[in-house]
Amino acid sequence: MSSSLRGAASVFSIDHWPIRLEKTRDLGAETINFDNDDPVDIIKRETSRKGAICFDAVGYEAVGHMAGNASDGTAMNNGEKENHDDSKVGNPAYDPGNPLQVISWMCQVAKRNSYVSIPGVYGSGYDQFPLGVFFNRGLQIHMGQGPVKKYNERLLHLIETGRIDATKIISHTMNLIEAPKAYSMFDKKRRRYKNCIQTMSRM
Amino acid sequence: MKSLVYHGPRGVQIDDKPHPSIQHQEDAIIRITSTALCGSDLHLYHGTVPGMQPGQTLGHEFMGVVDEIWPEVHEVQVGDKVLIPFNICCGHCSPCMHKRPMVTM
Repeated sequence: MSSSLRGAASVFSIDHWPIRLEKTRDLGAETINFDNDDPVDIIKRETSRKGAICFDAVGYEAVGHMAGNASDGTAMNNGEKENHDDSKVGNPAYDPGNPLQVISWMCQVAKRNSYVSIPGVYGSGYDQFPLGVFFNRGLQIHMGQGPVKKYNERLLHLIETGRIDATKIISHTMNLIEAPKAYSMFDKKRRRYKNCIQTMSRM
Repeated sequence: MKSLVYHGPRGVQIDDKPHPSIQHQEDAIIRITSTALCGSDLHLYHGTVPGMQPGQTLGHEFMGVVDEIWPEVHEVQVGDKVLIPFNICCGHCSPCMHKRPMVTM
């Protein structure tokens, strides 16, 4: 939604959950399911090898290394580790044990000298980094928690004037009293509630 | 008032808690009208965030109406509709003045 607003000619959304791919397709993105296709190959081809502006919205909870602890990078299996068939992934260099898989894909297809943004959450244990590719491609990184106060007012105006419809990402609206159920649904979204993307409570 | 309270990993419930009171000269009390459930809330819900204690109230993406303020607060008035950024910040240091408050955490 933000990329289109900023004037992107085309937007690619990379995921392997059909429901999320479907949602981003509804919002105007072209979708790549990394279980069937190689995102690096497709983006290089679609941008005539010029590369794209990339951001990692996944963070440490990507396939293969989720369920860890945000602060130290250790696997604690408290979350719901996805039961994933690694043999299907389209990219030949896919490494399910690499916690920086998304970043290593991203830096290969990022437009030279561009900013690569990482709003996805990582903890201090995630300290291995493809430094050489970043250096050779002259990339700069912006990451960390979003500076919400900087953009709040501008974004609010965009909503007020109807230029963006933020309600499109809300899949469920419930009463606040049902919050425990909402937590459980959001937590189990991988298994039972396949269509739970974002939940909202109202008083 | 009703609160969503953490009781341990994957254990949350609605409990009654005392109504908050103004304690500091920059405080405001917001009556929440709607709130979102964020992926980060699941880190707390799973108990993987260090320092989580039973009894803590959850939720950090909300909007509401200003119910009560310290008498000398000027930026908002009682009755204003407000949207709360999730960043925890002091509001006075250089990053905050440049509206990049996540640096102050």
